[in-house]
Amino acid sequence: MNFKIVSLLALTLCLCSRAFAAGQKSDFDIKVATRAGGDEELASIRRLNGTCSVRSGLETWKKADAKACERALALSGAASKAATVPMMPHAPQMEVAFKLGTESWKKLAPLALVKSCDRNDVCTESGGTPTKAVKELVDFISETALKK
Amino acid sequence: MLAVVFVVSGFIWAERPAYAAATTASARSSERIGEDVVFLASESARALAPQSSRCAEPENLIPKAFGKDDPLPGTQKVMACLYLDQFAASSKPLTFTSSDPQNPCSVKWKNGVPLWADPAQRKIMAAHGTAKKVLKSRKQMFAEGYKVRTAEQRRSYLAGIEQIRDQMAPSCCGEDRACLGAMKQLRIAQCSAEGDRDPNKPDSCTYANGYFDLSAEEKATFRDSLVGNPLKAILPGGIVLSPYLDRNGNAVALEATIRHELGHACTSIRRQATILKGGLNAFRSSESLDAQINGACDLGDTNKVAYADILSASSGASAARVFDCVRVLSEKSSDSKSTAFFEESCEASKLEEGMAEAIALSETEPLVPKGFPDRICYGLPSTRHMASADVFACLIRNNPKFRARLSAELSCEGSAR
Repeated sequence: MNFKIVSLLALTLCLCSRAFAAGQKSDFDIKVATRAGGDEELASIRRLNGTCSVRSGLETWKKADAKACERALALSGAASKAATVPMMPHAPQMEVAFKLGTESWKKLAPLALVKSCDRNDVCTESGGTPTKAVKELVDFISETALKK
Repeated sequence: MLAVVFVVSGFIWAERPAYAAATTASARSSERIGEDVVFLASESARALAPQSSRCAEPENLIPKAFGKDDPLPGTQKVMACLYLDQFAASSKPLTFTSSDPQNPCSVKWKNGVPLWADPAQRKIMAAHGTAKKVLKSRKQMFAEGYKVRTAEQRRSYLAGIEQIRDQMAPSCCGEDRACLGAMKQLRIAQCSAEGDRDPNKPDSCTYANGYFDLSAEEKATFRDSLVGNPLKAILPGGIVLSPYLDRNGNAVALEATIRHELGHACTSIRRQATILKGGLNAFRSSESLDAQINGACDLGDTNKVAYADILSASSGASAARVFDCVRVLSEKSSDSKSTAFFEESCEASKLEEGMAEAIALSETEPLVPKGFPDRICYGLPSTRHMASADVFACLIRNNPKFRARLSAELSCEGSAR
């Protein structure tokens, strides 16, 4: 009898501590997608119910080291402050979308610097390169998704 | 199988980003160069059909007679005329439900139903229009039979597109001189990138076949205008076109794509013209452009007003009704009971895309066969695009001139309707 009570208490404690641990590390989701007429996911990282996972494109989610999620969250802090570029309907751009509880933000970044010339050989540059913070975050998520 | 193999670019930064490598690795050897961001399945079919793909091909996507026989054989033509008559006879606004008149496109669709009525097919279509793919080097492109225009060909090609731009300007601007001036200044340019310098490097010109964009300088000016430095003049932007020709010497940027991009330029220029005029509409236009550049999906009241102004100047009441129809269509894209429903639709993007397409379609001449049936009936919807056939329905329901033109070109009896 005593053994049963002790077991039950132990189980309750265990479940409570796991729930507490999961609650300590809030769930979040960061997606990198192209944004040029349609959304196509490139790579994502998320923490769901305390478990860190990554995926490349729309492949199946794969478990990742908890440190990867910590790192992505840290990098997202700087990326959240980066400027977003104006959205052009079909121009080469990508979007980083961040969601943590009620907090969410989206950053549009150019995919490439494109030079174009008119018939009089007058050339213009459009697009560009993403800011360092966004680039670091995107690279990290992509590399982590690749490793898996 | 359609060879729409979307894989991310490898040129993005000097050092190749990891995600580029990842998606490149999963690509097959058969990708074609940048798919049109306005994905017109039927027009792309010719180039795509012989190639393999990792994507499932919607089974009735490619008309059997495509590009060879009469695009609309006798019986189909008679039926299309009949359905067109029903649109003429109907007095109700379109609701994008089964109670609407039958779309003339149904003569081309299997069992009279568009492919996107099937949720499984919508899933395949969801991301189409995304310019995401392996960037090939100029050397690879040449090996596949593509060529780059000579300097003389480029000048002549761009001059031809400038003519299309100038022809479209009055219908975009009406008599608004600032708008007309900006349309005239809209740059028509050919992409020139790494491939020109190093044929072994990934060529960013293979990213997309054609798109509307603002220059880096214009973008900076626009951003400033949102933080207290009002616009002093319209920022015209430019259409960036692929330098590539296919093995038959055809431009890879389809005319339909170019007209659609000119439609985007028009909506941008018209809203800026309104901003410069000041007043309440200026505020709404500014809000609308601001929302667009921030990628907002909420349709919002400001958008409704700002876009209404775009079509109203040129063709009077009928254009206003076309707009209203396109607006309803964008709202219905989130209604699971509607024939226009598409999962995870971005309504604001759909409105912008629908307007660009409405402008492009109304300026396509001749409508048969350049627009109808293939381009219109197989222009696929996505999370951000409306089905061209739905925009077409808005035009034939609300623009008597457009309807009469189609009727005449199809040689329908009583074609003046």
